[in-house]
Amino acid sequence: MPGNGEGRLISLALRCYPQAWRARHGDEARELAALLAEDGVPLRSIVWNYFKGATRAQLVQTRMIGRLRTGVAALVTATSLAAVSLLVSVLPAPAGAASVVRADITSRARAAAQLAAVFESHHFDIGVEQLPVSPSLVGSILATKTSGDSTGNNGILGRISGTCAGGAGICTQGLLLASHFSGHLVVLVGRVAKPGEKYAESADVFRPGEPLAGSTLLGRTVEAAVPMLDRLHVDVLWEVFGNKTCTASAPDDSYQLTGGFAISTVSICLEAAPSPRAAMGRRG
Amino acid sequence: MVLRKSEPDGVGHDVLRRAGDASVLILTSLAEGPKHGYALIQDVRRFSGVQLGPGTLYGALDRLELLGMIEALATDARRQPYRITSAGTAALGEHLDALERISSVGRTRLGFAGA
Repeated sequence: MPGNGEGRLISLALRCYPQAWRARHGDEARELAALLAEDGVPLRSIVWNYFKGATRAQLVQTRMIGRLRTGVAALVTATSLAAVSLLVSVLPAPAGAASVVRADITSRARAAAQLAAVFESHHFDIGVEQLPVSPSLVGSILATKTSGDSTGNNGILGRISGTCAGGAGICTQGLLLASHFSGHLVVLVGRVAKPGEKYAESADVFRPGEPLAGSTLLGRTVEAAVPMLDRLHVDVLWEVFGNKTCTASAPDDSYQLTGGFAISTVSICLEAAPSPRAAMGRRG
Repeated sequence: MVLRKSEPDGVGHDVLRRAGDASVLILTSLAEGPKHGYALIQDVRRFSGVQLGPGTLYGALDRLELLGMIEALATDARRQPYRITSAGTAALGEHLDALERISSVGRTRLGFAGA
C-alpha cells in the first residue's frame, strides 16, 4: 500500500480529474493505485499516468473552441486528445443508444446544413449560426449558447472531437444530445470568411491550415522575421509581451516570435516577447 | 437521422483503426467476460505484456462506454465491472480482421508467406 506521502500524491493526481469523474471512479481509482503499487508498479508511474489521464479528462470536458495560442497548448492538446478525438469522430452511434442523438459534421463545407438536418429530424429547437473563422476552424463547432431562461446546455451529453481542417489541432466536430432534449440552443459553426472579413474565432497562426503553417518564423527574432513577413503580403500587427492588444507598433528587433493568430484573411497578429538571452542580459 | 462519417474505399469499417491500443486491449480482454479495472490490467498484462496505466485505463473505459462498446454492470461493490456490448464485439472483430490482413501482407513481403 502507498504510504501517507505516496497516498497524498495519488490523491493530488485524482483531484485533478473533473468532479463527475471523481464521484464515479475516485474510490476505485485510489484502490487500484494501491493494488498496482503492491504489484510493484512504480508509484511515480501511477501518479504520472493519473495526471495524464486527468489532463485528458479535463480537456475533453472543456470546449476546445478557444485559440490555441501557444505551441505548448497545441502539443498538449494534440497528444492528450488525439486518441479520444479520432476515436469518437469515426465511430458510429452506440448500438441501442436510443436516448442519445449523435450529430456529426462529416463535410466541413456543409457543416451547418448537416447539423441543422439532424436537429430538424429530431424536432429539436436548436438553431445553427455560422461565423467566419480562420481556415483550420472552418466546419467545426465553435460554441453553443442558450437564450432566455433556457436550460439548453443540459441536453448536451458530449462533444465529439476531431482534427481541425488542415489535419492538426482538436476541433469539435459533433454533439451528443439527449433525445428528450427540449431546450433552446444555438450552435455556432465556423465558415469560410469572405475576403477581408474579420474572423470571429481564430486558431494559432502556425497551426496546419493557418496562414503561417510550415513557416520557420516561430522563434525567430523580429529583425529576422520582418523581411519574411513582408513577402506574405498580409498586414501584420503585434501583440508585444505584456500587452494584450494588437497594434501596428513593431516590437524591439531582438524580440522573438512566440505565437500569433489571424485576424482576417488579410491580417495577422503576431505575439513577440523578449528573447531569453536579452531578458537575462537586462536582469544582469 | 444520425449522420455518419464515411470511410475511404478499401478501408472497410474498422472503427477501432485509430482508437489506440488501450481500447483494443480492453475490448480483447472483455471479450472473455466481464472484468473490473484491476482485473483488466492484470489480464492485459498477461496476454499482451502491456502494463496499462490506471489513467489510461479509465480514459479508455470512459470512451468505450460513451461509444456504446462496453457497458458498466450494476454492482454495489467499489470495483466497477464492465462487459463488452454487441457493438464492441463487432468493432473488435472488424479490427482484428484488419490486423490480420496487414499481418498477412507483411509476412508475404518479408518472405514468410505460408510460414
